[in-house]
Amino acid sequence: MKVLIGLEIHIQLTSLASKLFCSTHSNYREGNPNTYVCPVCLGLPGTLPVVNRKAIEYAIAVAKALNCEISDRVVFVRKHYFYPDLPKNYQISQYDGPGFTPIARNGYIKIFSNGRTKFIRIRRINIEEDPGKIHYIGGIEEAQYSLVDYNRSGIPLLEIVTEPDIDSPKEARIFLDKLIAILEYLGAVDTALEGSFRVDANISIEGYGRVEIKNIGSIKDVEKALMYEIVRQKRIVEQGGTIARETRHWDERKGITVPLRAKEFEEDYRYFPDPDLPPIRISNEVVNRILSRLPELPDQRIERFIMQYNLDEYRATVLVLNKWLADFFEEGTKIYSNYKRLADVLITDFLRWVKELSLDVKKLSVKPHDIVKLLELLDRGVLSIKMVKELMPQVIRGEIDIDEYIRAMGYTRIDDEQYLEQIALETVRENPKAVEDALRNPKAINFLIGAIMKKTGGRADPQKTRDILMKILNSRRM
Amino acid sequence: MLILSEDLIGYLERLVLIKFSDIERKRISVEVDKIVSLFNELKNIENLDRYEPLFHVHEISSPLREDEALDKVDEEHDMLRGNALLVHGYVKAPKTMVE
Amino acid sequence: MPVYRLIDEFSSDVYKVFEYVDSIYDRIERVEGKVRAFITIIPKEQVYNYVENLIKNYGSKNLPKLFGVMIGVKDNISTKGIRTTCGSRMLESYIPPYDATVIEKLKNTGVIIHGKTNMDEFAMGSTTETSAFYPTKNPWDLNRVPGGSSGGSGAALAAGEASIALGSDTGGSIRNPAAYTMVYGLKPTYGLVSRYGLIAYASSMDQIGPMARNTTDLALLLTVISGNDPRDSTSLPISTTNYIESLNEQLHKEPRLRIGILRELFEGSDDSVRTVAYGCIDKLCSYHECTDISMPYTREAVAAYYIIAMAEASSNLSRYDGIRYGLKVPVEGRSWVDVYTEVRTRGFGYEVKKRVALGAYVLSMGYRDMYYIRALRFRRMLKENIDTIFNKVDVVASPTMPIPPPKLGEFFEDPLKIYLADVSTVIANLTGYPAISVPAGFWNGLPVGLQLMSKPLSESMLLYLSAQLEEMTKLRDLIAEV
Repeated sequence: MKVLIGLEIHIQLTSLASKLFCSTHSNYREGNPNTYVCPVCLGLPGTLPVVNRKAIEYAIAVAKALNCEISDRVVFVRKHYFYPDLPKNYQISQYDGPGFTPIARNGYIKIFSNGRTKFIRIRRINIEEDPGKIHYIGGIEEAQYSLVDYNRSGIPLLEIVTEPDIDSPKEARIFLDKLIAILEYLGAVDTALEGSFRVDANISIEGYGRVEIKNIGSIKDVEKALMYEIVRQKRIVEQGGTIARETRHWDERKGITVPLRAKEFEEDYRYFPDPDLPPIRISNEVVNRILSRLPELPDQRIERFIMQYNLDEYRATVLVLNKWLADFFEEGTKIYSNYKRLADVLITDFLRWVKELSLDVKKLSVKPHDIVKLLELLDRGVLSIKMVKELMPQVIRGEIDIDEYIRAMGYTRIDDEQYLEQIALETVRENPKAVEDALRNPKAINFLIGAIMKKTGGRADPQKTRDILMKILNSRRM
Repeated sequence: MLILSEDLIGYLERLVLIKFSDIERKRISVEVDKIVSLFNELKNIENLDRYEPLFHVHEISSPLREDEALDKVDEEHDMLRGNALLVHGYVKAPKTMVE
Repeated sequence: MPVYRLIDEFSSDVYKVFEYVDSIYDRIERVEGKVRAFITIIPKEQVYNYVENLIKNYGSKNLPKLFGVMIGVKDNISTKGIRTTCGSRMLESYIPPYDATVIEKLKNTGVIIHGKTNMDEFAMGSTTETSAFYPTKNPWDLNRVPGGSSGGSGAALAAGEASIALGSDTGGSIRNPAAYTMVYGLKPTYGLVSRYGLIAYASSMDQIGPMARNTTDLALLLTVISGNDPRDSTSLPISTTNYIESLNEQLHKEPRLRIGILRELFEGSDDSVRTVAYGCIDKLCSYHECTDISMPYTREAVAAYYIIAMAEASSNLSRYDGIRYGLKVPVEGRSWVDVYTEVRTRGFGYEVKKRVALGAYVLSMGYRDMYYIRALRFRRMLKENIDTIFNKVDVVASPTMPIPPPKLGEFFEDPLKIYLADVSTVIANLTGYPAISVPAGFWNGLPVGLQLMSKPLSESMLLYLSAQLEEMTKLRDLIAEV
């Protein structure tokens, strides 16, 4: 059964200082309710919207990064519906329909999924305003009324809509990872901020009705919700049932989707161009200027990493899609030249521990030279891979001074040949079978080397150990 | 001729969240009939489709505002006080979940 | 006394202001009970305090330009701290926390805003009879309407209860009452005066404009309120013009203009109106070059106007739900649909409800192309037709209204008749062009006005012709005996 998934992603343009249509401060999360407001974003009678220039510029930048066609004019429309979080009871938004144009359309994002390159098409990008937020004292059921905070009202949103080109929940995650990376590289959105990123997912089994899951707040939840939905839908279809078109809500805690109540209001939004906002003309000069100022984007950086650092696509991609990690890596390459080793440790242990320790990647105390130091010690044989792995969390947390540690543990390398020879002879005596293997197959010497390492707590000089062992073995041959 | 059925009035009432009283309904069905007939006279103009709709009377582009933020309002602002019902700074509003 | 003389008086002796203030309040006390031009009147003590503070802050030799002049402001223009109702129960207790841009500009000139004037509810009407509070009476005949929707402003001027006034015009709402109360009223070019703070009716056509008892006062007021406003994205990118200077310049040069007499609108008027209006035309044409012009589709223009106005009104009035401001109803335990419906049903009068419903209709799926889009196509065609006309003439003349001021309640049963009376005025709103109504004369004691319309940003030309006519008719500074 073929599965068709389309996504509608709403992101707040979090790096703007003011709101979309007024000059109110946009960092509303820090404030008490209804303190980041003004007559315009409260929708007081007689107020009028004025467009934030930077919001348009960011929208164009995002559109370019997503390979879209940019409209020659931005037309804002009014989308009418009644709801307490919507001060004017219409939202100033954009619309894709005859006569009206969104700011951008017909783009794509390249992803690597199921072992192949795939292009997920972007249908359109809209700019619109965020409504306020509704709260309840206690739970929704018991509350007799709602409480509305308009701080968020008027915050700029970009709505990015894909074609139903995504064919699995996993692919949806891969797509979203890539999209978020692009947006972070542009500096358009800081997804660590609560509410800055929301997804509506549309999913259908080919031939059956489309189900929309609204308002999912994280990429992980998108994947989970889609996985749940597919199973739910497949079960219905297999039992001969049919899927009706509906809207559902993802319940994070229970891990299920539930039907949303039927819409109380008519779905006729009565779109028409906002008479308070004449169309904004976008010239080629403006677009080219923005294009020329675009920072290096993920795809470009991945290619550069491949060429400059000789990494394979997989490693390059993992690094680049976590921008902070790629930045960390590049800092490291300035003082360490075994790029592959550095990339390896970063994308495995380092990344895993940072996530496990739930650290804020913007405030890491560990620096690239800390990791490089570990790797240099590894290269010299002072530390083994196992030790590096063990020490990693402490290094990340900044709890350890490596030099001190080495000194304290006496972790200096053993390169005293006499001593090593003693240990080697001991080891050979204790492992007759291994010796036989090694005499037949030279590669099997590693087992013996490993045993010696164990005996010496990993401190034996690997090269000297190897030489001594070879000598012993050769003497056995004769 | 538009025949203003109950359905249409009911539909419009729900669309704009307004109710007409019985007297008003009687009055409006007569009036709207006449008004919509007037509106329909536009159909008689030949070749009107040759013209693009004129949404804005002047050919100006919306001005763009520089991205500068004003100072945050202080807690004692009067934009809502006196005009809205406030509970701990929030605006009191009806519920959005319906049984 | 005309404003331009008042300000001279005050600059020579600032304490004459208090006499003047007293005289206006006396007048209000005597006639307001009959005329009912105001919804809110500021108490005299407050005005005294305000004047005293101004004198203290500026010094009596350095007072701002229009210091002391008492202006009536239509009640759909936001005045900080002063109740602004739009003539509606919905906003009966609404106190705006900010001033409209025009009010800020006016305050900088030292005017006294002593009252908010009555209007048709949310500016929807042509007689001020749809005001939720009470109708205003025409000071020239208390059984008749003063016109609308800025009827309160017109009546206040005609009754001597204010020296100048602000109105708003979406389909004729300044010019209609100006004609019916024998005062001068101008709808500026769309975008010349900021709409920030004007409580919206039909955003693509609304304009605030000046009303006064003579052309010079009109020019003074227009100078203050016009000019670009960065808070209004539809505001034209031009700075303020000194309309007194340009008026004087024109009066000095006395250019001979080409005036087009709009045949259909004269022929479509009542005999009474036509006779008086032609009388005015004769005066103008004794100096200027007049030609007969024709414009088809005047009736359809009314249709297009109402489609567009109702559509935009329906949208602009969506915000009235009682939550952030406006009429309050109990909220506990009820859904928002129920609460909003109750607020909007009780807060809006019949005419507003009708237009909001019809406006939603013409925007709804399936009907938008047939009505709203089609009306906008007509609008473009109309603009092209008018532009062709303005290639041949400088100004287009017609009676402002086709009938003399009707009696109160005369049009209750027939909305079409009232709507079609806008046939002359809506053209300027649909196209965004400026138009002025100038007193033409009395017919049986009832005021008749003449409308002059011209190309965008040619207000100086209109003021020039108005001044010329004013000189010939002497219909200036008239105050009715109420």
